[in-house]
Amino acid sequence: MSPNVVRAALVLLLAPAVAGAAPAGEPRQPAHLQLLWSPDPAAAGGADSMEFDLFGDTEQQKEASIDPALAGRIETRRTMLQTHQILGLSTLALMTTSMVLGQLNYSDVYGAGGGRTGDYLVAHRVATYSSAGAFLATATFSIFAPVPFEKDPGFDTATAHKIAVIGATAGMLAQVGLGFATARAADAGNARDLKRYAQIHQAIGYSTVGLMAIATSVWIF
Amino acid sequence: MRIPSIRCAAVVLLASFSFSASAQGAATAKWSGKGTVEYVLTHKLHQVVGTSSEPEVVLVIDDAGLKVMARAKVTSFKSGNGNRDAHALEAIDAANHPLVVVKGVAPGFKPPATPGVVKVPVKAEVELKGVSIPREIEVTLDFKSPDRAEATFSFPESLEAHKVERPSLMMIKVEDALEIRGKLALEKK
Repeated sequence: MSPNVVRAALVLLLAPAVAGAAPAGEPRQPAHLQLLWSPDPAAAGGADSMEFDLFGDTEQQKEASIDPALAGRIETRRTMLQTHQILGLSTLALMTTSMVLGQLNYSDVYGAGGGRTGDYLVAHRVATYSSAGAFLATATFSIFAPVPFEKDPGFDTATAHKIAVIGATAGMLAQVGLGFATARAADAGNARDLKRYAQIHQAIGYSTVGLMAIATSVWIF
Repeated sequence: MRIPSIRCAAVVLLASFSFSASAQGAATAKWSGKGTVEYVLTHKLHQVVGTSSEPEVVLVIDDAGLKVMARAKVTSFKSGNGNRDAHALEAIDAANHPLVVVKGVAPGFKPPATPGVVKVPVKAEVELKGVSIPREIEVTLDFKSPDRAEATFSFPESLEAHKVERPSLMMIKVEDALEIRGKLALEKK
């Protein structure tokens, strides 16, 4: 008996059982019939086809896991933190400049061989004000960035970054307070206090830049 | 008389086909497994390893060969730095594409009759950020017993191929190429 006769016989045999099994208007495709007709996997869509889902998820289940609102918050956070990163590096550069100019100013005004010219005074002031502004802007972009994903608790580089930044913030605020105190001492013509404040200002300045450098570099680890 | 004889022959044939079909069904083995999957990402200043211990995997071995599908929630990958992980999720648009999925086939694959290690070239498709990329992955299957095996694999992947904007650190972008590797313990169901 040829295969064609067998196939024809099978169709004849199965036709009455298949008829009426499917609702009107829907294709009649009983699974076992397909198996009988297509035992070769290559003929049934190809053995190397990727059109399968072994987990059997429905489209509804797939769509349920998508959160468009979260996508918006992620996008906002990404933009804000990228800006934060650029501003942070700029702030570090400005603070380093302030530190160098501050040292030059200190050496000029209080140093043993200083010319007492005051040549670096304005440049140092401009650099420090710019640093403070950039520092504030950098912090704003971080503080107000949405947090779309819950972070695992524990110490990580972000924690180290925050600790260093809190230290740098304290240093910046101390410098502002010290600035007022120093100005009063200068107004009063108190040279001894003036030098002492300048020394404290110098120490805090170096520490603040150091903490800012730590805050920036911890991301490498 | 001719039609009934054809019907008889057909019935016999149908019965034999049905048996053959059920035998094929019996030959279909479904495996599932758990283990770890990692990505290794390289930046000029350091290297990052993100690990997920929540991958799901299903393997079907039948007469056609092997089919495998594995997936992991992208939120399940941890690199030891919560902030970096959050950044990674942003980069791969986790809100719209919460799963990384790998599908693969190895047509004609037959498990070994005795315990042993088999290297299986798998024609696969890796889906990340909703973008599927074909990949050839060599999976090492170590059949410990007829119903227990261990799968290990490692393959290179590209971020940009999946339209992932490479994150940057200190204004330096991470390398495009990353390594995906994993180890899974499989059990026949």
